[in-house]
Order: sequence, then C-alpha cells, then structure tokens
Amino acid sequence: MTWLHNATGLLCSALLFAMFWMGTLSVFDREIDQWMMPHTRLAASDRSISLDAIVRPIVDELGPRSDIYLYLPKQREPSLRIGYEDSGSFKKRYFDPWTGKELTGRESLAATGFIFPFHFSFHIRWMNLGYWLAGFLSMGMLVLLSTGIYAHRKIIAEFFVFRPDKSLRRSTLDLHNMTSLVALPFHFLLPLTGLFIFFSVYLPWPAGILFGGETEPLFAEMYGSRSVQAAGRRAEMASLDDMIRAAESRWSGRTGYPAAADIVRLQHWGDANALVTARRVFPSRQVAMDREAVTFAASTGEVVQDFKSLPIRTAHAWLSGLHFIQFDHWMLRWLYFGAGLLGCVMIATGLLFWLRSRERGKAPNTPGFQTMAAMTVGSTTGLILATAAFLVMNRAIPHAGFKVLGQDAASLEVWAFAVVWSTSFFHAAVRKERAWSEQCLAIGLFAASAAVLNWVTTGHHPAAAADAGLWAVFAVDAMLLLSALAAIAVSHRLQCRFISMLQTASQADASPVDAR
Amino acid sequence: MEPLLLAAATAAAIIGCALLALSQKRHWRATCAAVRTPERSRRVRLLGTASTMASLVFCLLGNGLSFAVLLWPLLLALASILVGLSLSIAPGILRPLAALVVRDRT
Repeated sequence: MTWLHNATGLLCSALLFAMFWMGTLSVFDREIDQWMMPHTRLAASDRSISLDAIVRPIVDELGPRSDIYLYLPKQREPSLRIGYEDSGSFKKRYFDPWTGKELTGRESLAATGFIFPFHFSFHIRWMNLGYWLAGFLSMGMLVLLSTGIYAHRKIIAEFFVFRPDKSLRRSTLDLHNMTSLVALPFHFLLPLTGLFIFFSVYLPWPAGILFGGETEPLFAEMYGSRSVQAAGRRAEMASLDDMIRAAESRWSGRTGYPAAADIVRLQHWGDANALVTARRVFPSRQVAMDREAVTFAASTGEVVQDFKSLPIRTAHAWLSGLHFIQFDHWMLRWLYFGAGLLGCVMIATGLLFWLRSRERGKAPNTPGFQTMAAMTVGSTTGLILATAAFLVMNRAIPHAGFKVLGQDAASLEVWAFAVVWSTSFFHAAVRKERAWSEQCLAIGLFAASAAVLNWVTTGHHPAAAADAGLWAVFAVDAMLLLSALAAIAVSHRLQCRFISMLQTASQADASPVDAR
Repeated sequence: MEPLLLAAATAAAIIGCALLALSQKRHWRATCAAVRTPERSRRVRLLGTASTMASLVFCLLGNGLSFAVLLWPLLLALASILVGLSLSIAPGILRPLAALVVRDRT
C-alpha cells in the first residue's frame, strides 16, 4: 500500500495541487470576477428588477436568435448578464439591473472564464482530454486517500499532533497527516462528486443505449431542456415579468419559502414559436441544484412544461450542488475555502516529505531527485506566483484596446500566468533550495502589487470598497494583503533557515574532526 | 436564531474536539496535572463525543439536513485544526478546560 501511495502521489501530486488550488479559488469565483472586471462592480441589493422594463429593449434590439440567456442579479453577482451566440463565440454583456445601462469595460476571462475551467479541464479541449485528465486525477486522489490511511498507520493516534519544533521531516509528516485526516470527508467527497458531475464524459455508453446515442433527450429527461424550431413568423411576446412571477410562485408553493429564478432562456425571441424557460439553477437556500424549470410559450405566456427532477437526478443534483457551492451560506463558503487550502497543504507536504526522506546520502545529486525537487517548487509556489501574476497583469493593462503582439488584454493575462508558471520551474531547477524563499518573496510582492494596482486603477482601496458596499472587492484585496504578509514572513523564515544550514555546513567543513 | 445556532455548533465542535484530544495520553500530559486514570479518560472521551454530537444537533436545527451534513464535518475539521495548532503552539490554552472536566465528583 505504501508503494502505491508513493507512486500515485509522485504521478498525480503536481497536477492535483493545481486542481485543488484552482478549485479553492473558484469558491470565490464571482467575487474575483468583480475584482478583475471593475465595470461590473455594483453593491448587492435585494430589490427585484423588471425584466419588461430593463431586458425587453435589449433583447428586442438583438433581433431573432435561437438562444439568449439572462443571468439575473444575485447577491454574489449584482449585475445583470446577458449571453448569446455571436459570430461563432458566446458573447457576454453586463448591465446595471436597475437602469438598464450597459456596463462596458476591458474584457477578462477572470475567475469564471479561466480559474474555474482550469480546475476541471486545465483548458485542454482537444477530445475532452482535460476532462479525462481531471477524472484520472480525481481517481488518483481517491487512491491516495485510501492508501494513505494504511501508509500512515499511526494517523488516528496522532490525530491532533503537530510538532513544529521537531525535525523538518517530522513536522512535515505531522502536517501532512493532520491536514489529510481532519478534512478527510471533504477531500474524499469533492473528487468523487467531480466524477459524478462529468458522468456523461466518462460513461457515455449508458446514455447511448437508453437514448440511441442522442444527448438531447437525455438532457430533456435530466434537466427539462426543451428545444423548438422557429416558425418564421413574428409575433407579439407576452410579459416576461408575468412568466417569471408565475414560475416563482409555483416553486415557492412547493418549497414553502420564496424561491427565485436565476437563469432565463429565451428561444427564438420575437418568433411565433418562441419559448421562455425560467430555471432555478443555483437555489440560494438548498444544496441540490438545477432541479426545476418552467417553460412558457412566449407569445401567450401559457405554461408548456413544468419540470421537476426525478429521484435519481435529484441525488445527482445534490451531489453536483455540493461540489459547485453556489448556494448562499457564507459560513460554508469560508469552510470550503479553508478545507481547500488544507487540501493544498496536504498535497504539498506529501511531496515535501517524499523529498525530505531522500535528502541524505547520494540521492539529492541524482537527476530524478533534482527534477522532482524542481517540480515540487514549480507546481506549488510557482502556481501560486502565476496566479498572482494573472491578477497583477489584469490591473496593469492600461486600457481595453491595449495589445501586445496581436494579443488582446484577456489573452495577455493568460500569457502572464503561463510564462510565470513555466519560468518558476526553471527558476526552481537553477536555484534549488533557495527557490522556495525567493518564490515566496515574489508571491508576497506580486500579491501586494495587485492590491495596490487595484487601488491606483479603480480608486477602490479596501476602506473605499467597504464604504461603497463592494464587499467582494474588499474581501479579495484583504486576502491579497494577508497572503502577501504571510508569503513574505515564510520567505524570511526560509531564508534564515537556509543561512543557518550554510553556516552549519561551512563549520563542519572547517573542522572535520570536531564535526565527527 | 440561525446565527446563534451556528455559533453554538462551532463552539460545541471546538470543545468536543478539544476533549477528544485531551483524552489521548500525549495531550493529557501536556495540559492536565491530574493522573490519567482509565475512568477519567473514558469520561473525557464521552464528554467530547457528546459535545461533537451536540454540534451536529445545532447544525441540524439551524440549517436543516441538507446543509448540516456538509457543515458539521467541516466544522469538525476547523475545530480539529484549531485544537491541533493550540496543542502544538500554546497547550496552556486548553488547561482550564482540562481542569474543568477531570475534577472528581466528590
């Protein structure tokens, strides 16, 4: 079992750390989005909006389209987002939900477009390879957790044990054991539910057998999706507000508390066959997601379909909701964030312990050890540094039309991430043990710079953000500043340790007899 | 009411984990002057288990089953980390709790 734990750890840990890190950041994806796209920063409000007054003029202007999606404002995303296919790509536009004014500014993939998809696909789209890689890593995580309980036999007896004053090897193992065990249900459930979410990628055959290889009837059965062909005749559309209110009153009647629609799909808006589907994809007061949808004939406002998921799909909806964590529960959100960080510490200390166990003798001079050492630095501190560079680049790009070598602002942010991450591996290979403290120092400087640049470019320093009710911006800035302080403190401590190691080594060289 | 129940659930989880840690020989030695007898150790473990169960009840009352099954294990994780770090950095913090629960009922 120990060999399996070690082998799986060596094979998966670097990418698993990336999955965990990006997943942890995704817990606050909407908040990071607001930070990275200042034009969408609005104070959250519970006021309801009139779709007829605000949305209708916009969708009427868009003209006949097969699909238009309305993402209604929520506490965590106060702007109104409208998405539709445009020239082969999915276009997103943001609006002030109370005035209807378009919120324009520099585009960015931000957290929902870059960090979140990185978490489950690594942005590898070719033949769904990214999804398969994420699935393989999730299976690896489950193997690591199962074998880890056997490999670290004293794990229960040493449940609360962390001895920072013991040797580095011992304290690393303590931290590895503690972080794995205290959040074991979380570490186990998250990869498992991730596998459930992408079941149709990993196990496409059952759907193929039941639905003749067609995905449309499968999704109709699971999510109540309903497609329609345009009639080609224009027609007067019924009131959007009335339709949404009708859907919400049905849901509220079932749940016993006020239930709100969050995503509205308009199919062939303006056409005689147009449909309007109101969904409750991320209910604020329940874990299970995307279980209900009410579809209306847009020309008459009559209900065409009232969908509610069946038991098996309801179980899937709960497991998916548990993973997506889009419900309104701030305590749970912070606990998820903390548990995600514990997962990162667990993976990093696992790699470190493997290295520390082989530090003596000739092993450190072998290419295998040195490669693994550089990979450990690059895949942990290097990735965090790259994320900080992503944020710094977001605030450093001066205006929307800014381009370098034909790359627009959103691409430049991704390039900054990629260049810094790959450079961190080379830096680790060249600087060896010193790389840890140097990369930690760089993380501190980058994180602090990101917060300062946000202040300079938007005027929203943490106090101003709090004063304006922009709590998402305040929280991201506060986390950046705290991370900067922590990273600089760790860097200083590692530097002191490195200097003391060098002094001990030079003393041993100077008096070999005494040293013996 | 919901924030109060959440606070109670967090406090019960921390006290429960602290007592479960104190029932272990290593942590008993670090925090408690009294002799560790099997009866005392069992009593501390029982109190710890009861406190963590009370945390579950508070989670259920405040958040319902669906959220409680997520909240409770994560609260225990938070409590375990806090207790573990307290024991390694400043075990004295847990001494009053240890003194309170290991008093013999005479």
